[in-house]
Amino acid sequence: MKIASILQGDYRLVTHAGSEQADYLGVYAGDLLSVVMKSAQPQNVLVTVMANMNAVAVASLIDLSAIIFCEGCRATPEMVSRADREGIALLETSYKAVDVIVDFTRRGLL
Amino acid sequence: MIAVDKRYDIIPNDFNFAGRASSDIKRTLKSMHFSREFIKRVSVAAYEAEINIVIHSRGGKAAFKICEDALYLEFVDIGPGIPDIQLALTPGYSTASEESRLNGFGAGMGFSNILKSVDKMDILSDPNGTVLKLKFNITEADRDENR
Ligand SMILES: Nc1ncnc2c1ncn2[C@@H]1O[C@H](COP(=O)(O)OP(=O)(O)O)[C@@H](O)[C@H]1O
Ligand SMILES: [Mg+2]
Repeated sequence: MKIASILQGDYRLVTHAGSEQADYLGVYAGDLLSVVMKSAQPQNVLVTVMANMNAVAVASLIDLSAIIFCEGCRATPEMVSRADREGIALLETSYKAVDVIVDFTRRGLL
Repeated sequence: MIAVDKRYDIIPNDFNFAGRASSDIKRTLKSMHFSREFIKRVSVAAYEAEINIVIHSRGGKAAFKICEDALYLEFVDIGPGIPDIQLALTPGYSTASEESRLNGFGAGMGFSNILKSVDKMDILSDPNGTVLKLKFNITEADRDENR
């Protein structure tokens, strides 16, 4: 599945144009980074409110494809440039994590 | 033969710098074509140990070595030490500050993640500092980047 297929409605891609062409495989939602490292799988999309550099560092470490910052959390320019360097797509949405999952289920994106 | 011998400084309380050592370790292993599974085990353990020095200590160093069929990580910090190691190893136990928690740390799962990843772990700690030694055995399968 392509990140591009997520980008419909209330999702904003903040990494460079073209980063939506990456593939992903499943979704994982969580905020505690130790738990994310334990449970998320390679190429997952991470849904989280943890909008900081450490989330990007963890995503890179365990080969996640993308991060969706939910509930209006915003990525800083530093996070965006690091994610661009590491090949991770960053998205922002006003949805809560649970609404992202429901939306993904409804649209067959899981 | 020693194939890799690297050292890193770990700066306390610097959340932007945090993870640099682990990133470099991961990059090095990738360039040496280790398996994805092996790289993940080492990276996760390295990151947890590095973050512990960032959020719980006054700063320290990491060393990364590959010697024949073993990979060693050694983390040394300058205190304040772990008063009760048994308690610190208990899943969920954490003394992390509010600031660390806001940065996504402090789940109290760091040592569980480390123990799940390593073949051997040793901790030596007193108020002057903590030494954490991790050993990963390297098998034939771990050397195969296609796994
Ligand atoms: N390098 C260290 N120096 C002092 N205390 C430490 C160190 N590493 C771990 N600890 C102690 O061990 C506890 C458990 O560590 P860990 O399992 O990584 O959980 P967390 O880091 O999420 O609190 C920490 O909360 C802290 O009290
Ligand atoms: Mg920890």
